[in-house]
Amino acid sequence: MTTYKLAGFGHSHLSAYLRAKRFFERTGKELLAETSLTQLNFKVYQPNYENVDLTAAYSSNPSGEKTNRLKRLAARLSGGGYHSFDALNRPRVLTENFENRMRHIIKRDDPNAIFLACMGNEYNTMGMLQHPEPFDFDLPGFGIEVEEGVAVIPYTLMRAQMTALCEQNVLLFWRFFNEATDKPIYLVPPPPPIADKMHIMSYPGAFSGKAKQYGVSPVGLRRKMWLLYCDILRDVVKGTGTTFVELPDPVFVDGCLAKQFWQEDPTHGNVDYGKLMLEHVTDLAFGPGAAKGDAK
Amino acid sequence: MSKRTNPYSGLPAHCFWSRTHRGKDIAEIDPVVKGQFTLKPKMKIATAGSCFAQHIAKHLQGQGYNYFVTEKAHPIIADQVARAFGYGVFSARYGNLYTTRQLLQLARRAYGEFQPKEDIWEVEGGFIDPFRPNIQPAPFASREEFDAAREVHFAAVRKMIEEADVFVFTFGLTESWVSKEDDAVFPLAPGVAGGEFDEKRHGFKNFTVSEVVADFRDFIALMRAKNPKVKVLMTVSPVPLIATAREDTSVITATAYSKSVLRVACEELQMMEKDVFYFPSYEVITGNYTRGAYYGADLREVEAEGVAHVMSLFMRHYTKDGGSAPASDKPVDSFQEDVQKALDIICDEEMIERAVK
Repeated sequence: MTTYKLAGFGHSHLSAYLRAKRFFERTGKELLAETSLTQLNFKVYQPNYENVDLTAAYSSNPSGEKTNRLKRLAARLSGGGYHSFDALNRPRVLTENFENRMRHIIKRDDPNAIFLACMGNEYNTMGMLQHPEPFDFDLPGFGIEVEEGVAVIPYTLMRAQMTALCEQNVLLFWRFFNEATDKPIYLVPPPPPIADKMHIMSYPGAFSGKAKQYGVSPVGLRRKMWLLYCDILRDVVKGTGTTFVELPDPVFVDGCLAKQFWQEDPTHGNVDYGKLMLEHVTDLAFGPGAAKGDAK
Repeated sequence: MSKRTNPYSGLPAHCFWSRTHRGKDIAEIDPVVKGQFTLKPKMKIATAGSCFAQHIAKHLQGQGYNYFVTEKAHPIIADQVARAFGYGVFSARYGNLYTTRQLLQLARRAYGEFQPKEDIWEVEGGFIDPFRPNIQPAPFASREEFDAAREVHFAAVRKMIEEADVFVFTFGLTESWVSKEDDAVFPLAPGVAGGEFDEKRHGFKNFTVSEVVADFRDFIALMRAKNPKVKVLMTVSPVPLIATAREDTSVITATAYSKSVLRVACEELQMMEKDVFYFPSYEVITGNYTRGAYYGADLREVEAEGVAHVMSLFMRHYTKDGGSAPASDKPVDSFQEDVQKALDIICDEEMIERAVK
């Protein structure tokens, strides 16, 4: 009998979990926790974020009292976020309406733990399609070869670029949830890349046309982008009440997404992926040795 | 009989103190008098020097002039990140070149004519370039990355030297720290942003007018040997020293010395060298007619109004119509935009709903 509650929040990558949940409900399979999943890209939660005038935001608090929103923003801007990609002084923040809704859901569902599968396509932004000026970078410690005859971007610069993208996307959400709840948080990365270029070309989804125009990047670069992305998230949440979720071994074949988990699109996992991951996350949160919802 | 009764009679208004500023708003005061050449939109304009040169670069870029950047980040890197890593701040990624000796040594290093003995600093997490220690927020991750970046950098410096049509240099400081082994000049004292200060190996140097002039002339000779037609525009940074290393001297006095030396050096260089000109941004900001209005609360940083005044004079005297260059028909790189649009669609809820059915 389920005794724990797990709340999941995320964007497109949460869809695999949602399908898995429905499958489990249909087949009567019980997990270690009752799950509630909130798809943040649904219209009811839009817009998730907006760009604010930083000067105006600060000057609206002449007393100097900083809201949590401003505190998070200050932490982000001073923490290597390179002031986001937006026009100077107009960084991206979550909307107040969105934050209020999320707080309401957390209060209403009162979960023992939360998992986040927010955004997650940042690494695809960087590496899915072959850039007109092909490039690669050396990722220390993984022994993945650097392509020959292409521009080699220094690792430090590539990491900064990916960090900035993360800060503007997935970490925008993580910072909010990290402040909004005392419950343990499990940060789930997106699936690793699909190695097979033919699969991507056959199911280009929204990349239709673009994939043909630019071509798909070599798998080595796409793998490195995913590994770098995960490493950044792992580093950022270190020492907080958040656990970065390492994907279980069956997910991988040669560092890429195993074929049985491919969705008919270029980036997402299928229902079997969702089943594997939902069980994995509930095991991590509520299995033997887990904190089981103790306060941070 | 001549109408002129003394050498001042009949001279233009700008020659007279009272007539230069009386009844004028400070933003209208113009000590430039006359530009020495006209910038054309296609001219490659390179910049180097202290912080203030960055304003010129940024403004010219904003006005559509051909700001010549020879060391660019790959287009996959966002502008904000690239700038944090020193790309596009100056024409190549050399960071602030505060002294003319630094400029000269950089050029010589780029052509393999000088190889400093203290050439790399190892720190926790990687390696720092002693000659551009603040070029990026984190050290170079490996020796290989450091070496590759330096190779790219030197090639960019050579390209800038060989291809620039106009070279704008802002003279910043006279005080510097040098290696006692080979006189290599560090932009910051070892120990400040990497390395370790060792008084046996490192010494303080305060350059004189003749040294500043000689170094800049040597640089111009080197540049002209490869690029005979380049025009050089000199400015002096109006930003006071943040600190002096001279224990017996006030930073106020040290600033006066430093700026005076640099200003005199520019005057001498202008007289000695062909196609080398001085632009008086220093006077625009520091002139007492401003009553300090162009400095921020710390009396050091230059306010945006001051920069705007300098740049409006620059455009007035050095461009044909005093304004923007004609719009370029250069195609915009749309790759990132295309990818982002596709991914936005991927995250669209219709697609998710379709997926969960």
